[in-house]
Amino acid sequence: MDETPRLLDILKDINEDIDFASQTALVDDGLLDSFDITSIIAALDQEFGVRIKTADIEPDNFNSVQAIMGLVARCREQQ
Amino acid sequence: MTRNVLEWLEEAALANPDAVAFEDDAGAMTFAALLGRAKEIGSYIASRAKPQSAVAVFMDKSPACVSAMLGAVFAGCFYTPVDPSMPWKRIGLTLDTLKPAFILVGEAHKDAAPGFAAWTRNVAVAESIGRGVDDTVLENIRRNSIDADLLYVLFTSGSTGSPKGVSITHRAVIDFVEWARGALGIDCACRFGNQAPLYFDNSVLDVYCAIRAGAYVLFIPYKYFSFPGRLLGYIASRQVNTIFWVPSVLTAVANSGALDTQPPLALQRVYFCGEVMPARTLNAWRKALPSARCVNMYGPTEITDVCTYYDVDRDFADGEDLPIGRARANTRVMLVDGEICVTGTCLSPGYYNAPELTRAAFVQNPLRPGIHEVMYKTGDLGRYNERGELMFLGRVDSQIKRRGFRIELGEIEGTLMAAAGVEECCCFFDAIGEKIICVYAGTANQKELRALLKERLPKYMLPDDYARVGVLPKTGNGKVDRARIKREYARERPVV
Repeated sequence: MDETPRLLDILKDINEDIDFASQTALVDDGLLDSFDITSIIAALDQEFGVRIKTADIEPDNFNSVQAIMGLVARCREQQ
Repeated sequence: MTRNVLEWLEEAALANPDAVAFEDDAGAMTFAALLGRAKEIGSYIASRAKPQSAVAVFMDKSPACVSAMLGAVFAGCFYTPVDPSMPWKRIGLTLDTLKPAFILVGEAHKDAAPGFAAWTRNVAVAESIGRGVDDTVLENIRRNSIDADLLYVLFTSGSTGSPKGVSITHRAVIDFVEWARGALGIDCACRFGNQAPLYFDNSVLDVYCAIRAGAYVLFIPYKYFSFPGRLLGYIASRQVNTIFWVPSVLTAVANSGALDTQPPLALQRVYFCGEVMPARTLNAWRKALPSARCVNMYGPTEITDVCTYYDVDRDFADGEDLPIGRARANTRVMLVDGEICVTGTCLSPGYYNAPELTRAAFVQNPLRPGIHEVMYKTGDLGRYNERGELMFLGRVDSQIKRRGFRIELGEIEGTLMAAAGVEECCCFFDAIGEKIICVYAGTANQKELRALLKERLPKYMLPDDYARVGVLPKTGNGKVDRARIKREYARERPVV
């Protein structure tokens, strides 16, 4: 099942002003700040049941919806 | 004797003209360039605004922003850094109180310039100000300046629903920086990795100690603070040896484990202030950097950044409370009915354009009834430990600290109560979950409240969770029962 829509819903709650689906440089362009990143990590834990490891908290993993879904998938494989 | 902080800049520019003073990812500014640019901006402002008037600086943190702040000072004025990312409505409340005679806008925000017309017609894009310097005018302004003139006004959360402006004089900053430079070992070899925003008083130490000592300040881009590994790599690559950060940032780095994998070994000074420092965080940093000096500092904006300090000289168990230590030089710290109270040159002359708020917090020192000595009541509770060190115990009111930012829950509640569809509300801080929780009664839904607050409050003040109830529980005398609300709603996450 494609969980991208669910992730988009979560992201919309965190910041409804950003069109997450079309962005590919969420961190690099400064759209997400440290409050947002912390919220996203907490939401991934709560909604998807994945614990993001420190080593994975890197800009590349949060720059786009695809990147975040990729991160979720990798974390699940490791769990 | 130094009367004006600009004397330091002039000395630094003479001694080390080509040394870099401030740098960010976009570029560096030497002491000579900083002095030159500040004088140009100062000359421009001086021809349009009278000395001792307010100048708002609407710019992102950058070397150019520092030159704009100091430019205002050259004009004999005082500055207020305004965070460009703050909601427009709160900026408006700030400017209503400040009544600026001049507003400097950063190039990146020049589209916002016309919006300031409601407050003053004197609005200029800082980077576009020309290169002329009027030395005669600047010298004349300096000759007439005294050390009791204001240097800056920093706005902080106010319990009545709008922010309040803490005014600080030249002499208070001189008093603070002369102490800090000696006691904290700041010299021209110091390389600061700055975390604090310029609208936050922790930045006063970085900025003015660097100017005083001819040291270097690197403005670390905000985005690195989301990524501890990157952050440590970045400060190591720039040979940062001194940091003065809020404990929540130090905690986030410690919790990430990045200190183990890439300890920033060049760091010699790990200083912190702004909120309670957990011993567990301190221990992680000391383990990674055994030879670094660690100092825990304490003080609200009203007493110029720091009034007590504890130079870490012994080990603490993870759960122990760290002392906030002893008063810094030329500052008297007392406990009056358990409340930490301060007198000395460090004191703010009061909240700008807010005499009632000033009278409530700046009072006659009851211990010296024979003279008019003003004492600032911090609202913090303290006690002395068996070593004679001061320990922080908490607040007398509902002020909280979140990521170092001072927040009056009353300001959030006041903003909500002004909204249609909210009959009553109570906000509290769940310290364990680090969440602000809003419990309210009324017809408004959570989505509406989120949208409303986002337009009026900075991000760090926004509640994380909302709970709508029929009516708020009351105590026997009819007041909102905060204790009971906190008990019932803490650690519970309502589905939004």
